[in-house]
Amino acid sequence: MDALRFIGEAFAIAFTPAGLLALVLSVFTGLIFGMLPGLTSTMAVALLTGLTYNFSGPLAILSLLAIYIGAISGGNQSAILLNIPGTPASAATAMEGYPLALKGKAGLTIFVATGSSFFGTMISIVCVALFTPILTKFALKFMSHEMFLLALFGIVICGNLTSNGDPLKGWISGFIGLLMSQVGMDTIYSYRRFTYGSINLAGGISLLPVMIGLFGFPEVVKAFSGAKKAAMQQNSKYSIKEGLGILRRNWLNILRSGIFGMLMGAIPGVGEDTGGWLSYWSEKKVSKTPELWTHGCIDGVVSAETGNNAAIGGAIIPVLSLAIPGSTSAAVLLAAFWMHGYRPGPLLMQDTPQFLYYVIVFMVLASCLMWFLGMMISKFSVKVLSVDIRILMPIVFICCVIGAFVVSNRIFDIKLMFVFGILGIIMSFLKMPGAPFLLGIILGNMADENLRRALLLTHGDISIFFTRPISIFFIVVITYLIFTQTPVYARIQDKRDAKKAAARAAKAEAKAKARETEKKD
Amino acid sequence: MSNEGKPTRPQTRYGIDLIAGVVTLAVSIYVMIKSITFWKEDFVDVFYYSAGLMPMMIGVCLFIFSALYIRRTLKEHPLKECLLDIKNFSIEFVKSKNVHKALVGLVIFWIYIYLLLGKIPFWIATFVTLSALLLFINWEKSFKKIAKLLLISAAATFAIILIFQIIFKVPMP
Repeated sequence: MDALRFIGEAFAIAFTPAGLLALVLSVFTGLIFGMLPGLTSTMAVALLTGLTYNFSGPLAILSLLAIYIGAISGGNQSAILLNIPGTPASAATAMEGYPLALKGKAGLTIFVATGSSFFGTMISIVCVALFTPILTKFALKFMSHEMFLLALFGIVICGNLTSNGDPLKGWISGFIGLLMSQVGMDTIYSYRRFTYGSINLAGGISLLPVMIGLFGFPEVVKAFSGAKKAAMQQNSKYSIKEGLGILRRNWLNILRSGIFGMLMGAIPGVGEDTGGWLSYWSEKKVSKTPELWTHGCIDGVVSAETGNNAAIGGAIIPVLSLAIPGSTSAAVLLAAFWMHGYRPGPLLMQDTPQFLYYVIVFMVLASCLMWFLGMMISKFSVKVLSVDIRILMPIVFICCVIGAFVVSNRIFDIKLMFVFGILGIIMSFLKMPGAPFLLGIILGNMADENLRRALLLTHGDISIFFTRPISIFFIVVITYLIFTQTPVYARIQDKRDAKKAAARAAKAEAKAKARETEKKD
Repeated sequence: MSNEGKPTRPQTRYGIDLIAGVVTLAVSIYVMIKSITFWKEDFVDVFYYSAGLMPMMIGVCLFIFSALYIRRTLKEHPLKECLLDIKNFSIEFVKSKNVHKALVGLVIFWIYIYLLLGKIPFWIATFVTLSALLLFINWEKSFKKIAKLLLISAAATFAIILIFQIIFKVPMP
């Protein structure tokens, strides 16, 4: 009965004039933040935390959750229209969404992506409500060495997926990203690595300048050649029926990716980015038409968007039950909850039992509104794109500069963005994917800290890596993926192919002989 | 026949692939050496817990990947071919008009980031840079066109200040 009362209370709060205004404005702002390159969900939640300081607790929570959901979803629009993921979580969406936009299906792709985001969030909300204790237990089972392997697995998989048939380049990109994450003070001893006496580098390389540099800069520079003019302006109209048909056809994909993304979100430190990537990867693996992927496959957009938005709920599960954030945005959200007088953790249900129900109801309302507003904004954003790209891109460049600056308020970060921008151009020329690089930077410190902690606990004994099924699974997959790129594997593969060809030839010969004898008879 | 069904790699300049492989190899060796230095300097007795462990692992992996990268490139295109490709690429690079345009654009970015930002008010720096970029990319010797581009620069600068600084209260460089 209490649950119903709390749910009723939550609806009553949301449907007051102030609640409705906060909901609409927050989702709208979130979508804009997610859409604009360089303005992330983390930044959106962080900025709004200050702005909602004078709000009542539930109203502030409503605004924060709404902006978080809006920002994660909004990232898909710039990923699809500009090939610049508005947030790192949308990097996987850009893989399929941008080629589809180039084919003149931008409107339909945004509709499907926003719909997938909605369903992803809804699936994760159901999971928050039903499976919080079970999933928290599962996430907690990951030991330090498994967290390290998970990070490594993420980079190797991402390198495989984004390299367009050349995993070696994807892995090089991912490991250079990992190397970049080592710049600054190490997390255990605060020992300065690769800082070369620079105070600015001691704090490490911020994610945002790298992201903007890698994904934004090459696109801006490409505009100078004028080669891409009008490439994305054709036929952005779409039929809602067709969009809903795609979503209906992908119901299993949505369900799988939703659960996958939610699980990834629930693992502390993994977050929406990996949720999106792994959902994308898992769907590509089971796809009947894998050859279409990376050339503009709508199923990929569905899986990536469902996965990254489902990770929102996943990331909130450990926040609510253990006060451990599942992602950077969730960490900021946790701080905001504290600021507004809520104490997430094991005692939450005892101290403020209504809080969980408030969160669930607010998330449901925010995701419904997100789909509606997302589609309204998409009409506007497609129009923005119909402006000559040679006029739009210099303005995007200024947004990139502001985006790089705003997190730490340092000119140094803008300079860093410029440097990574040059690197992004070189990588783009070499057809080296930027996404594994980004993931390397995101997961680098987690990998480092967990590996060293695991080895300290075992006094350097690496046998711990082979004692549990989770770690064995990761080791086998990583080793296999790397092995497939070695000359030994190529030789084995060639031999196997030759054997198959010989067997086929022998069969054909036997058939021909049989036919000849039949004819003679 | 044996390649049937195998995914094809995107085509790149093999000469540049070789350079990229060699540079990555050099970086990996540098990282491995540096990781030993970290271990020696961070006062930790055992390597497995030192600040040098992760860089060493990254260095080793990068070394392996870059060695495979170089080997693959040289297997498909002998060294002579690669060197010739590098020479051809250099000539194309110097002569290409698109490259010239991109370089001028990058110089404008550099001036904005390294010389203007933080030294003069943000709105002046932004207006000047936007005008320079728009005029450079869309250059036409027509007063009407120039006036239109300057107006766009002014409007965009105003919109950026309004949205970020005034509405979202985002601090500007």
